[in-house]
Amino acid sequence: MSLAASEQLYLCRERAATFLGLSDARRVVLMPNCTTALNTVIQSLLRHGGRAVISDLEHNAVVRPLHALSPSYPCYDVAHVSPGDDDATVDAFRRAINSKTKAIICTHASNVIGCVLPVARLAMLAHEHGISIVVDAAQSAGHVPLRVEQEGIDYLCTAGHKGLGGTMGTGLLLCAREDALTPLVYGGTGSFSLSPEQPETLPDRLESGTPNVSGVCALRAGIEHLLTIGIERVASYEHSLYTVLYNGLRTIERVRMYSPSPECGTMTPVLSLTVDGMDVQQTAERLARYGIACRAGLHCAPLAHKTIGTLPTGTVRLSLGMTNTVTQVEAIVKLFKKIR
Amino acid sequence: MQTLYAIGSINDAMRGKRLLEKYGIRAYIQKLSSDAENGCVYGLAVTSSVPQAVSVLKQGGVAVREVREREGS
Repeated sequence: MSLAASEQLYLCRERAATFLGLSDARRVVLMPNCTTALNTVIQSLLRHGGRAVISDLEHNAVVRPLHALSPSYPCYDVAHVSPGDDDATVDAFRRAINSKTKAIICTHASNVIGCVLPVARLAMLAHEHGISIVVDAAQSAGHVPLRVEQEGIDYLCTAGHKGLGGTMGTGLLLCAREDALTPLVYGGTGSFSLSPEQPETLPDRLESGTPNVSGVCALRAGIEHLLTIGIERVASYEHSLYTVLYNGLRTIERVRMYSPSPECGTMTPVLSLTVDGMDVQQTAERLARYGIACRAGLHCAPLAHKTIGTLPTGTVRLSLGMTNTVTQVEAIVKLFKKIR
Repeated sequence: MQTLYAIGSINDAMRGKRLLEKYGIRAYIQKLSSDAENGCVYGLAVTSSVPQAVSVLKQGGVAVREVREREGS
């Protein structure tokens, strides 16, 4: 039975490697969430010093581990993202790199405004400077095409329960580099058991303790579903939904939108907004009465809200997915027209 | 005659199985008795003598600790 369970785990690694463009499934590390994956990489790369360049749209899953490494003096520099202008974004990262920089650590898609960062170009920039690139794909994996090796990403961290269709309590760390990362957790791996040393090889090195087999099976099923549909089709459909939503809300004077327009190119279907004269929590509650689930507040990304000027209250975030329909999106627009 | 390739990690064994299958070599994984040097060991069992199996595994980055021959199929 244990071999059958291991087979299931390995199948998930294989599907994730296929879907996200990594040639060796053993470099897909099964994690409890994206935050753990990010902490593993950040602490491995920077615990002995050095600096990171991050974007001004980062989630606390990136900001807090960096802050914890050096609470009294920030060990990171912040580059401004210009949605729709990749040249300006790459230039901002280039300017932020200095002799102490060890890594670019950035989100692939903002969890607040949905814009997608040009990670392939940022990877080239990182490698020109001999540093690593770590990408937080929690919000983008399963929504837009992403190929780890092709785009030059060294470490990709992602959640399992969002676009990949798995359950909560699952995440992935994809390692394109061979460097031995330092585990956050040490213990039994079912391999090299006589040695008190943690194994050197992936994924065992970073996977101590009992795995979440049922969660991983669900994640595998989610990824298989995406492989069947095709990510280009998913991205195209979700972009069309976003376009209907954005263009519909654009006509309502009281609604202020902070996400880029659909013409900005590749983006995830996330729209942040506020309604004049209404508190964001109040707006979310009104929507909930009509069965529309959204998230109001800072979305664990105060840096992003500082950037878009929505501190301290934040925004209402509408997130679309491939199971939504145009009819549903049109219903949301109608609701905003009458919301008071 | 069965050939067993002893491998230290279940994930390496899984990869090894896939690699061999790509070359048309049928293999299955079994847990072996712990060895005195490393502890837990997995075996990739091939039902006949396949000389190229070790090089296929090596080229695919799968470390084979030991090759054991045994009776049976």
